[in-house]
Amino acid sequence: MVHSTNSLGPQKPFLAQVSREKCSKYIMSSYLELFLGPIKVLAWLILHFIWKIKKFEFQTLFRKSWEPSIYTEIKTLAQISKEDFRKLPQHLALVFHNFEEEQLLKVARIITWAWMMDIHIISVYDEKGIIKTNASRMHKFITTLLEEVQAAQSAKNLKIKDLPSLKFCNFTFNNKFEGNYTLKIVLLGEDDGKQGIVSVTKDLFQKGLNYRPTNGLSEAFNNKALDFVTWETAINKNVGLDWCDTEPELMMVFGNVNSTLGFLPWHIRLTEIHWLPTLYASTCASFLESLQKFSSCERRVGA
Amino acid sequence: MEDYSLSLLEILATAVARMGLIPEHIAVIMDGNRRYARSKGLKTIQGHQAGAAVSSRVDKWGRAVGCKEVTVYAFSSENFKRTKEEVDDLMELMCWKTDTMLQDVETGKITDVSFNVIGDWDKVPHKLKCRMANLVEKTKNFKPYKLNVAVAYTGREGMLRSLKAFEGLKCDETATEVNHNSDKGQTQQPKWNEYLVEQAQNMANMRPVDMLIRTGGDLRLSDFMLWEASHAYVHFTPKTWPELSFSAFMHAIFMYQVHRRQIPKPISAKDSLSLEELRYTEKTLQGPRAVMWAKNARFAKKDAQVEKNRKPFYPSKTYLDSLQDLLSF
Repeated sequence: MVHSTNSLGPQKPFLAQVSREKCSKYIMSSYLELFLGPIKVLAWLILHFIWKIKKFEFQTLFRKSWEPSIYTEIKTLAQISKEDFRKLPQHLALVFHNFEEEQLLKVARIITWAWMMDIHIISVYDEKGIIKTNASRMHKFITTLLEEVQAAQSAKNLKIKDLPSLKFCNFTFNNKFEGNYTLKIVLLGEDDGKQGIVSVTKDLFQKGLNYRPTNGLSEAFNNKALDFVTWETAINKNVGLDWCDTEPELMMVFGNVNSTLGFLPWHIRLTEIHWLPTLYASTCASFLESLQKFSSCERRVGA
Repeated sequence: MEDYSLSLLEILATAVARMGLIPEHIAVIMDGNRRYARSKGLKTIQGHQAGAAVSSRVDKWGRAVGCKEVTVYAFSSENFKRTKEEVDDLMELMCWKTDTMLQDVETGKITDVSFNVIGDWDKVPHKLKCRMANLVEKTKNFKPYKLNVAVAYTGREGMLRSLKAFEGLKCDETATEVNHNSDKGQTQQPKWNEYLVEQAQNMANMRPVDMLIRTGGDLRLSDFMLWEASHAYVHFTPKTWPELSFSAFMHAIFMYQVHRRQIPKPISAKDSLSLEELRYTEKTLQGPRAVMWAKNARFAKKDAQVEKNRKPFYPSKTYLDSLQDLLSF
């Protein structure tokens, strides 16, 4: 202990002085925290409660919301002029959060809307892979809907769009009709994303493309076989997109979530991403609104 | 470096935000500098300088709110397509920024933030490369915060780097699988898993991204952190990067907390491995990491003396701007 003395007499030890100051500061901050702590919690709860009230979606109360008939949608879509859109995506990605099997028909309807807007390549993704597991049912639903569209168009004297050949990549089904062009649908699950890239990487190494003699030399060499093109081709082949040169230009994420939910990380480099309501709450109008927003966006690629 | 400290109101706001979930890793696409400069009648480089000022503030805001790691997209490989003048100005600006950070490290102002650079080092000019390597070397043991800067970076190139990281792998059967089926005889390859590919991309020991913020109004990821941000909450804001205010940042944190309640965080690739698999993977990563650090040390040694800083450009903010920010929360 260090004692200091001056003309006023012996003073308290320096260390005791310092520690007393620190002690009192600590006690004060504890009291402050005791007082402010509940206020902070209350403020946080109030903010989140207000947000919840503001964003409350009444459709969530009723699982099956009222939906217009397919005929109404066909009429609406047939009346839209493609010239109103500066551009439309060639390849559209549909991503669904919290997907349930009973929603397969709704997905088929959305695909039909996309087809009516001249979008002929559609990737469909849900995290659990439910849509991919039910590929045959999806094929049946889409075929039925396309036939209904054609029947409705002729009944209501609308311009008849020729039916396409339906192609499900990675699946083979018998098509009911053969068209002049193909509507290509790619069904994807979480296994096609990161896990798919990992398995492709493993395959490429197993083929000996990265073979080096095991003499411990670590200088880099330019392995022309293991380059960007090789890897990209292998990844595309793995998910069923080997015939497709374009990545999705537009991704619609259904489910009121702001996340890509693990959709193919390799394929969304420049993809425009739109957040849409839940599948139950989504309508043809929200779909068209998304396309309108896409058509008015500018694409600057780095420059 | 700009002497910026949080006001009392900002401190209170961060204290309230800490009552909920906080993203551990925030990634930021700093878009809109040129549009900001055009709207204010400034030169392009002044727009970038204004953006540089905001990036140090965002780092402070992140730390105040409890975030452990921030990654910023400073320069894309695609940005080399811009005019030579602009690219040179940007490289000079990044050099200046690194200088100020180095000075802060040397004077003891920065002691808890480790700095890292992710991207293709070969494309970065030599002077900037050495300067950044010096900063990385000096701060490599600082804890607990991390600031990663993406320079000459694209997400796809990052994924391809994870493959190339294991070229010339030494023979070690405990960390690799021996492939007897190859027609070239026995080959050595790492035991591939998601965590290995994730870490091998940038060798920066990064956490998965919890929140990705993009300013400027564009609704895409522009080849940034495509792998790391696959399950992140993505926040698009129409404000340009220099206009990003504290309230806009807190709004992003608030929305993250709302989102995370709806969608719980998925299990990370690291946590999905068993202890043995994790040990093997870390052992596999040791070699490429050592090569990277050795390369970094070489460049750090070549760094010249830090130049004196010139005065940066900080755009003034009026009370009306602050009020507008608060109302738009």
